[in-house]
Order: sequence, then structure tokens, then C-alpha cells
Amino acid sequence: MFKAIENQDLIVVVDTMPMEMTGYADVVLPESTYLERHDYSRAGKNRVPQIAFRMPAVEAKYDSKPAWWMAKELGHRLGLEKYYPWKDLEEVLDWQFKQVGSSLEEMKKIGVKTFPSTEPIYLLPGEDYEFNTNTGKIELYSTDFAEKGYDAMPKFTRHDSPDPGFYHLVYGRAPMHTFGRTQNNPYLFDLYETNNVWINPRTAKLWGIENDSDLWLKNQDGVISEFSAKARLTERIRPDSIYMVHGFGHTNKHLSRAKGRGINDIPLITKIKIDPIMGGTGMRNNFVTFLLEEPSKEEIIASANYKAEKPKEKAASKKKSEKKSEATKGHKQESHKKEEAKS
Amino acid sequence: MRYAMAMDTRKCVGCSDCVVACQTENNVPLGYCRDWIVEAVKGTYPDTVQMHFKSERCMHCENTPCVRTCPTGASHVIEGGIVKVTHDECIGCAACIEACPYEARYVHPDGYVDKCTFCDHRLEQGLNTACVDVCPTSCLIFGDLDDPKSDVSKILKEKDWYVLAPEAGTNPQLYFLK
Ligand code: SF4
Ligand code: SF4
Ligand code: SF4
Repeated sequence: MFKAIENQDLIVVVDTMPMEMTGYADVVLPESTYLERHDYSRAGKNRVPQIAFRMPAVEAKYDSKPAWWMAKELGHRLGLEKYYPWKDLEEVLDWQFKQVGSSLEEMKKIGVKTFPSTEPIYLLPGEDYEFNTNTGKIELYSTDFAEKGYDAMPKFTRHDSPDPGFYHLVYGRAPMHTFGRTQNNPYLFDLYETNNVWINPRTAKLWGIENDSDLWLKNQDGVISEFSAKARLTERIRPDSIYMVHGFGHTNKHLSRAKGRGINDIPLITKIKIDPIMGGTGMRNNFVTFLLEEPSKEEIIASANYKAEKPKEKAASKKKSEKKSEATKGHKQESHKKEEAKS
Repeated sequence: MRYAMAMDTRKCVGCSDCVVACQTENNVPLGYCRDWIVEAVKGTYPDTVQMHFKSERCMHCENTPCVRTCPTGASHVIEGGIVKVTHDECIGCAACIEACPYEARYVHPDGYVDKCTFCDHRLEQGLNTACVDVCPTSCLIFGDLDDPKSDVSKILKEKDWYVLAPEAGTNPQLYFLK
């Protein structure tokens, strides 16, 4: 990937945060966050059809701008003014809202407007209906797949199994963070400042890993995680798998808090499976093993072609408020003791 | 008037919105909190592993060991049974912290003890507490137990609930719905 990046003539990055990618950009166009800008309205054709207005809650900080502004300004400079015959997004939204019998003024007051459903959303009992398939029916056996030479009935294919000492790498989310872009927010950082490696206590025992042991991960292709994370022993994960919250292990130094915190799952995902029919990608088929000793910087960089000039930084352990700081402040984990007393 | 809060452990998703809302509403410094989330897991894989979250804060107990141990009278009870700390009268001795069975209090970096106030400054204005207002799953229910028509009275009548550490005899007013 680094090679691909270095081969570009020009890289322009539009982002709300100084992410990894912005470090490679020739030009960075800082975008205001969703709370600081107007956006196109959300239209939902749900059970209750509705439109929702999105307006700034606070003024944009620094010289960040909304994406519509960047597009318009670029358009003007490229001599494409005629495609932007409006002053700002409010004008566009007002016109759009008027097409459905509302207005910017009204939407500013009510935020969300609902409309009556024009067509029934459920089938009535016994009602005739043709689905968009060859037979017009719900096809458990897909005649379309059969025609194109694929399995017409889903056939079970066994997933790969890890070698001894390796575990399925499972990643997901924490409710307080959104992808990789909120880790540097002071409040959210305070709540959940790093990810942990969830390990089943039985697996941990084999390795002599305890709660809060520092560890690095190495995948089936030898890629080592750039930073470490602490172990979290929990029954919420199977003994043959480990789990991590995605979005950590940032390397951009401008992410003053988040940089160097936790393990990034992305470099450890070197094997990607592609669904032969619809092209979907499966990335939870990678395996990792634990490194209990800190690997050398050179070893880490060589393992994955990480950017060498990014020095490895040890997460400074900042002790916070006495008791509420276990794994994450304000989020005490698994107080078995407390529970047992009660239930 | 008897303020109380019910917390539906089956609905809470552990998002911690209530924690951040309280921090911003009450200027709780980063690194500290007046309310917090407890994640409780029972069982051993692969047997039924069960998990739930609890949003905890000061229980505004009816019988208050924290107030009794306070040597200066800074900890006191106001209208509605809300337990408060007068910051200027608090000498930061932390006797109340030792006395509280729920770890509900912390020493503010400015030297006094702080804790949940049931957002009494908001109640005065007819608003709900900050944590109740932001909860996306509406699993926090706040109100007056002396009013049989209040949401909290109704839900406690309808549903099974438990309190934490009943053996401490504090008669806590934060009820967890089963
Ligand atoms: S929870 Fe603790 S601080 Fe709150 S009233 Fe009860 S004993 Fe006092
Ligand atoms: S009632 Fe107010 S002070 Fe108490 S936890 Fe909720 S937001 Fe914080
Ligand atoms: S805001 Fe509500 S759902 Fe989220 S953690 Fe608090 S109590 Fe639970």
C-alpha cells in the first residue's frame, strides 16, 4: 500500500481529523465535523416516510470547511460556476424542502418532518406478489446462480482453522467510539483510551497471560502489531479467538492523545477472502499469536513495511482517578465480585 | 417528595452517554466521574454466558453513612432526599468516601469531595437529570416516589427490581430493574 501511495502524482485528503492518510497527502482540506456543518437532508422511505434536517450545533473550529463549500469553491476555480448556481447549502436545502411542501424555516424549527405513506408497506394475507426472480418466488434454490454456474444452494465450506498457538482475530466496535475517528476526543478518550485484547481465561492460562499483561500480536504472515495492548481476560470470547475494538493504534502525531494507543487490527489483516458471487470481502479469517516480550523496533518495521520514520512510542501510563480507572474510567469491567454478592 | 431513579439493566447498551453528559453538565474534570458503567458477565464459555450493564451513581440513600461520618456538616440531605456536599465546607478528609458502600464519591482535584447531585440545579428548572435526558435507550427513569403517578413509581410497581448491597442498611434509592 505504501508503494501505491508513493506512486501517486497528487494526493488530496479531505478529512475531519489528522488521520494516517493525511500524513501522505500533498494537500489536506480540513473538513468540519458533522456537528459543525449543514449536510444534505436525510430522507427515509421507512414505515413513516420522513426527511430530517442536519444543521450545525456549534461553529466550525479552525479553518475547517464543509464538503459542499470545498466542492463549490473548487468548481468556481475550475470555471464550472454554472453547476453551482447557489450561495450556500441553506439555499439548496430551502429549495429542496419547498419541493415537498416544507421550507428551511419550518425545518429549522421542527428538525424532522414526517409524511403519510402513499403505498401499503406490507403484503396482505393471500395477496399475489411477484418477486424479482426468475420464478417470481422467493428462491431458496437460486435459478439465477445455477444459470451462471454458481452454487444454487448455499453449500457449507469449512472456514480455515488456526495453527496451534494461533487464534482467530475478531474485531468490532465499542459503543463510545465511531470507527477510527473519535479516539482523540478528550471525553471519549477519557472513557476508552485504548483497546484491549480480549482473551478467554483458559487460553490466557496456557500462556501465563494475566489481566493487564502487555502484549503484541503477530499474524500468520509474520506481521507484528506496531504497538502493544493490555490483555483483558473474559468469558465473552471463545478460547480459539481473540477480540479487539477497531480504530486504535493511531500513528499520526497530530492525534495528540490517541497516537500509539492500542493495537491496530488493519495491518494484521493480510488475508482477505472475496465472495465469488457478490464480491463481498471477508476479513475475519486471519490468525494471530501473542508476543509477550517487546519485539525490537527493527523487527516490527521489517515485519510489515511500517513507515520507519514513525518512532515507536510507549503509551505513557497516566494514572487517573483512583478506583474508576481500572481498564477505562467510567466503565468498570466485569466486577464479578460485586455481581455474585447480589444475584 | 422522595426522588429516586430506576435503571433498566436489560436495556442499557453500555454506551456511556450518561457518563459524558454528566461530565459536561456538571463540569466533572476529565479522569473523574459522578456516574459510571459496570459491565457484569456471568457463566463460562460455552455455557450460557450472560452479560448486562449497569449505570451507577450515588444512590441518594435514605440512611446515609456518608452524612453521618462527615465531621464538618458539608455532606447533608436536602428536599427530596438528595444527598449533597457543600464544596466550601468540605475539608477533603474523605471520611465519607470510606463510609459509602457504593464508591459513589471522589476527591475533586480542587480538594473537596464531589458526587452525583441528581442534577438538583436542573430539577429546579423543571428539567430531568442530564443522564436521564441523553440516554438513547431510555433505560434511566427518574422521579418522585411519593407521587404514585410518577414514571419511577409506576415502573417500580410493575417490574421486579433489586438494590445494591441491601445488607449495608442504607436503603439506596437507585433501583435496578431485572
Ligand atoms: S451512595 Fe454513598 S454517597 Fe450516596 S448517599 Fe449512599 S452512602 Fe452517601
Ligand atoms: S443525576 Fe446528574 S449528577 Fe447525577 S449522575 Fe446523572 S447527570 Fe450526573
Ligand atoms: S446512556 Fe443509557 S444506555 Fe448508555 S450507558 Fe448510560 S444508562 Fe446505559
